[in-house]
Amino acid sequence: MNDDLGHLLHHATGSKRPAISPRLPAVPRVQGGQSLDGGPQLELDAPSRRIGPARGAPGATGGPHIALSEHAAKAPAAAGQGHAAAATDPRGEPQLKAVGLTKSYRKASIEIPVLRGVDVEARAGELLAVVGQSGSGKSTLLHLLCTLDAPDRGEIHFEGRRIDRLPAAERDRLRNRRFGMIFQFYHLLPEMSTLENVLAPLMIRHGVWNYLRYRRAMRERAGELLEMVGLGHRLKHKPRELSGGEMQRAAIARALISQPDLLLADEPTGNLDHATGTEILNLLRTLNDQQGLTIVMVTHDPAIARMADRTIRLVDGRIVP
Amino acid sequence: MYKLLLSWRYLRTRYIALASIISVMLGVATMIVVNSVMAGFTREMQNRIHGILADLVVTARSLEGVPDAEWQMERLREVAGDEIDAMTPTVIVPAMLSFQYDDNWITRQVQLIGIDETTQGEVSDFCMYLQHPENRREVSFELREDGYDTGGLADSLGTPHRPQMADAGWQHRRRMIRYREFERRMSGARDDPPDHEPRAAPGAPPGISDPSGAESMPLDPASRFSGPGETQKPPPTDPFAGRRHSDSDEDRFDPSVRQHTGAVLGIALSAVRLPTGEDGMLLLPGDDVRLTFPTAGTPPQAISDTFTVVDFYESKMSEYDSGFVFVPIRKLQELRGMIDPSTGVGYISAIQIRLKPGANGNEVRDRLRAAFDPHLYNVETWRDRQGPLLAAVAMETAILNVLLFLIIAVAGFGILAIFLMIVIEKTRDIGILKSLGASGAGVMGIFLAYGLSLGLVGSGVGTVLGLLFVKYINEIADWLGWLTGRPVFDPSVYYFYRIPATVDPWTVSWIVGGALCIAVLASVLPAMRAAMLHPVEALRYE
Repeated sequence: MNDDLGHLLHHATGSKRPAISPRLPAVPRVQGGQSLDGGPQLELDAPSRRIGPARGAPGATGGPHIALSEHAAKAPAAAGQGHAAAATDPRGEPQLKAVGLTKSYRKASIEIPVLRGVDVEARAGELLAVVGQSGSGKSTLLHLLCTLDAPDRGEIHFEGRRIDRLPAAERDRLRNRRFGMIFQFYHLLPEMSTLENVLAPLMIRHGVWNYLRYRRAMRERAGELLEMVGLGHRLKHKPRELSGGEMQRAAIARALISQPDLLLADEPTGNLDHATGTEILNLLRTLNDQQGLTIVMVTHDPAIARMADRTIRLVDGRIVP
Repeated sequence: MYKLLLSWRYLRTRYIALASIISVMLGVATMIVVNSVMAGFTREMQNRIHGILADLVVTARSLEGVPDAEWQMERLREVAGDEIDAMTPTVIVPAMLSFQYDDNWITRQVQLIGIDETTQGEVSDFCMYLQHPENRREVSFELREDGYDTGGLADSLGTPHRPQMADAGWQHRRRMIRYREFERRMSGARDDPPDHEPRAAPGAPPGISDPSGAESMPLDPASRFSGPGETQKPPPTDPFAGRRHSDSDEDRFDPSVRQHTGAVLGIALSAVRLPTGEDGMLLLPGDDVRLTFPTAGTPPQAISDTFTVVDFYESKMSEYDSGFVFVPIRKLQELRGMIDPSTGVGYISAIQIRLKPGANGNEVRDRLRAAFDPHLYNVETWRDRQGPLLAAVAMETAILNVLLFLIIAVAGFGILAIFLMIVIEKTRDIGILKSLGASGAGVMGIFLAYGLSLGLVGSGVGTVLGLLFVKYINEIADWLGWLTGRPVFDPSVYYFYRIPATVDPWTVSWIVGGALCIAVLASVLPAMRAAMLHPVEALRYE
């Protein structure tokens, strides 16, 4: 199974899916499915979900302007289930499932076990928090889940498909198209402006020709995402000119540009002060609520974890109840 | 897309990479300049060599020569007629050139070449290097009235300044005769020398050998040492020369209206490069010179005869310009006794051949070598004859190229070192890109594109610099000369007036291509290192 098949699945179910929020303006669509000489298909706008900016409704914290309406509050369940039905096994398999993950690092000749058999499940539309002290292996777990690293033992399934033993090109594709990632240190590219950083996943996906061809639509979309996270006025700024909170919001916009099915957040508030951290968390919460985006977030702060739908605790490389 | 964008951004923000750009640039510029100048020298030299040498020369190994030009040429046509465009016979013999400047007799060793003026122009560019515009169109051994070029051979390499040439020709000859006459009368009034030897006053204009014909001048070099008055005629050692210069003939010889057999001299036999950059002329067309050369008999005997300078040959190859004297072949054959008295068939020492365009000289040479007995004949192309010189220049160019390319290779190692640094500096960015789905090959592409763009910028700027340098090379040489107080390109050392430079587009593209290759090759290692970075470790990198 490849992403094109998944894409077709999205198409098949997209028409039946109810609109998430009538107040969200339509995002400009670059028609998917156009194949250019057998080249990569342009999937700017997967039809299953639309993450669009909401204008005019100030958020509760006064930070990012995300529409939080009653209407939207009901949406996650519907969208999430709809999506789960589309993307996963009809029997209700979790979207992401890891079984018996072990991972150890070698320092000199000593083997240091980091994960000692971890089982994780994330259902579609769920905001899952993994809480653990520093050194408990939570970052390693996240890297395994997003296929940046391979487990020593154990299996990882995404939408019913085992992903931890895929060839490198497949994993790159997965990270580029299906997963969004947010890091503690934002990890923006310093040479690029905010807008270009947000566009980076699309630049990686498309060749020069395709990119230049659809540049206008892509930039528009990136601009709208930045607007949504409250950075509409910072498009041309380099990351070093942004504050920590702004950088993390830009990183979120970057994670969302490729319309991911799963957002993996590694201590997203770890480097931010409390107020800014709360804004970022609210943003994530809103994304989860409104768009039904599955989020797996690792953090050391149990207070942050409390806002998640579900929390699992990781101690010394094991899940504890 | 991100590859291009990032390599472009790196190019604009990593100023340390400028160091390697500059070394690539300097290497490329130097190579272009050196190659252009060397190519220019080679081209000029080849033009000049080829100007005098025909495509192919069949030479008799003996000074005596071989009989019958027509028959020889017929044989040549039989062997390679379809390749041969034109042929001309020549007689080549070593000779001594003697002439008088002021009070001094000057004798030089020369190569005397008898040419057929009607066909010589067909086989080589001989005519193009003459000083009189009419002679350039068609060679003639008749002295011209006037109209010689004062600028020498005007070409891309600058023009010498020879104002004296304006007076050359018949007018110069007549003026010199009047002057000698006046001198003789003056000196005759004073002390009445018995030998009528002219005594030029100090500061007199360029000398003329003999105003009144051979009999009144000790033109025979031997007479200079045997005292005045002893020999007043050329020694009648040579029957042909003696017959030619019969008394009755010489009695009627009036030098103001008649000339001796014409001779074309290499310009360097007459011109002396003065420190001012002008040329001082020892001889002018219209002056008489004495040529002494061996006869064709065994053993050879020296004979001499008087010739009138009718023009100068200026190929700007000092070897030729200072060593060649051209006279009509028939006259030379007569004087040397190379004409069979019974049949009238002349002996020749070489046949010059012009090949048809596109003919392979070496192939024709080999065919002729097979057909003509190598013990008697030597067949050479013009390249063979100047082989050592051309090979030396080619060797010099090759060595210079190797050395200069090493400069670019050093620049390549600079790129390698700087790139490794940049890869280490950018470790985290590489991790980010990989976490966003960039493949190892894609990350490698960033750095390869970066290396390529460094090479492009470096070699682009280097090419522009190099071409500008070549274009203004003489101005730069002048300026450097002015700055340092000593001429960089001293025209009295080289026979070129200006530095010749030829830009060969192929050479330039080879140089640029080589520089690009080195830049890319140097970035392969850092790029592979970047591609193989583990994303998780790269992300953790502080």
